[in-house]
Amino acid sequence: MNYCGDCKVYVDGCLKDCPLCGKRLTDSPSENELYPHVAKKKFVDRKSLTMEYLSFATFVVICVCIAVNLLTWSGHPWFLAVAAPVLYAWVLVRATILSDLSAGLKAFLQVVTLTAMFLAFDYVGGNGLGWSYQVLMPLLLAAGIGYVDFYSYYHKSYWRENLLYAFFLLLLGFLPLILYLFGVQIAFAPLVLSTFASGITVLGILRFALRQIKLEIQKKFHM
Amino acid sequence: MPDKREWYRLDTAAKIYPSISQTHNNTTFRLELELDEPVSRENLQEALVKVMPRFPTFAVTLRRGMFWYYLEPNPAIPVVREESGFPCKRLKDFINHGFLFNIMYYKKNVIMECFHGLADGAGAIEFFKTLLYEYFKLRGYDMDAEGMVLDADGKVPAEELENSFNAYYDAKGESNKLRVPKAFHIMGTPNTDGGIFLTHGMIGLKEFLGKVKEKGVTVSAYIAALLIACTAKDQGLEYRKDKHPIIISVPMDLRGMFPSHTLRNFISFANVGTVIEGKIEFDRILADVSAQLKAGLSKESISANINKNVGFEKNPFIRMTPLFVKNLVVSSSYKHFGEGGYTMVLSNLRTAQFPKTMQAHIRQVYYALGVSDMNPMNCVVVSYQDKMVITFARGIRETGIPRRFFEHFSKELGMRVEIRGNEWSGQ
Repeated sequence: MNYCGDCKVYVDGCLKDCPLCGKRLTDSPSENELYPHVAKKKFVDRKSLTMEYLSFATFVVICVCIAVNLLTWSGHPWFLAVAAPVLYAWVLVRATILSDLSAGLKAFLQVVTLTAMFLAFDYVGGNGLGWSYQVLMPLLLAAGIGYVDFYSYYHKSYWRENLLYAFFLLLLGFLPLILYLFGVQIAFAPLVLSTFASGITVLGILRFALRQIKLEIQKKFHM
Repeated sequence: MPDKREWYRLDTAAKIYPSISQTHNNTTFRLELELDEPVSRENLQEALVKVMPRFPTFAVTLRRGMFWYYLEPNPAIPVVREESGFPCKRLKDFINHGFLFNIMYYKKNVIMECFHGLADGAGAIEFFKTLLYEYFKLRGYDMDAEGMVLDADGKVPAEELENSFNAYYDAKGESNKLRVPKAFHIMGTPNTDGGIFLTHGMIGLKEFLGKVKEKGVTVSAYIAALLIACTAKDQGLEYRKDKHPIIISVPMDLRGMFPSHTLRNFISFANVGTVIEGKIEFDRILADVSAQLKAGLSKESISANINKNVGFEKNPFIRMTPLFVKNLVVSSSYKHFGEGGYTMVLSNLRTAQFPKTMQAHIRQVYYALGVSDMNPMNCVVVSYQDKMVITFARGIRETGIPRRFFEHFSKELGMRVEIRGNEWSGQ
């Protein structure tokens, strides 16, 4: 132990300076027996820096497109055809490829953003909404539901993480059928596929996972 | 015998911690035992695996529900690691298979860092004691628990798992008001890299107890009063127009007041303090604080606090509010009604007691609490054998308050003070 004459306290020999007044006590401190030494951070987090630059560039590109589109307005919102794929690319890279989000959430985000992007293309294409919601939306929903079903089957320990998003996808899977019943035109084969994917998932849950689902609901809703 | 519950609600005190630890608050506390020989990682890991089934409320992970967070049994095995980085890591920096505590070692020290939502200091020390007891057995020492250590092979009593706040809640009883006065907050330069300085001051226990007895007050009252006086002097409150009171928040283990054996949180806080006007007179502050502490820690006041907190939790409107809204509201309102209402926490873990066979291998006990952005300093006290260790945790570089504090012992009371602590390059 060293002695600090200013504070009149004994200081552990591992501390170069008095931790109270900062006075130098030794030039050759011993090793700290209580705490590991922590080296100062020397690196710059290049990954997050690059992401910040990219997000700023995205923001600028979209703003410029909107501004040009508005200033040269001809009744045609072409900026959507630029903004939609750029935003989708963000979801694909940041929230799907580089992220550790649950598979259920990734599938849900992919289905929603891909559908939104194709709706934008379809709308900008000038023919009004058509193939995007008549064909692609039910197909994407069927693919998303199928993916989550298979993922949950082969990775059973992760099923809880996926449950909420699987439930949302499952509900959305019936959307084409509901739209069809309300008179909206939907392609028949994709409609059958998405309804079948949702229906078979509901039956599977009722047959094999009802107890777990009940327990999960009790926990999530504090019942 | 392991308990087979499928999930646990967070206890009343813990409900707030996950929400506030998402952002600016560090809700981790740290227990550290310095042993008489270097720690064996293998034996410690083996002991940890053995004791986990005996402590089901520790063998859990935190999950999000629709309205509240909850705890779910974690089937993974917690891993013992060598300590690295700063002490009192935030919950988000715990990398331990989803567990809400970390068992670490460094040279001769065994360390437990625990998220406050899981347990309070008294609950965690029971877990830690059993872990160390099994560790010493694996090291080949003869051990005798003397009835002071929970048996790792024993049955899990339901009372250890209970939310004791609910057990002692009286819906018709008086409850405290939510409104709290705005307290003075310590100013300083935040540490680089978000690290925390821990400064331990060790003093003779008997000698200090003698001085406290002379004044006719308790240890907590004496230290709280000293903290107020040192903060006022250091921050120049005698000369400033800022007349916010310096308030010390003193947590109290309620197990001494109510017959509870829970290992989860069962604490209440008494806020004591004073407005500094003119000259700082330690004896006047001490008399004020001592009286306030006595009143704040009375059974009536504690019961009113329990009634307020449980009543709040049972409020149907609050219960039905979705969790993401609660998180937003709690983390912002906690700044006003929680940490906005005090300057510093003073936690007194009292005397750490171990069976003689364990004492023979434990040199010293250290205890520390994480700090928040708003209140970047706190003080904790733990005694062991003939020493009292007073620890300051600092999220700021300025050392004026601990310096004045320890100089009171070394210069004014003429006591021997030994200082230990952490350091890092670039500090």
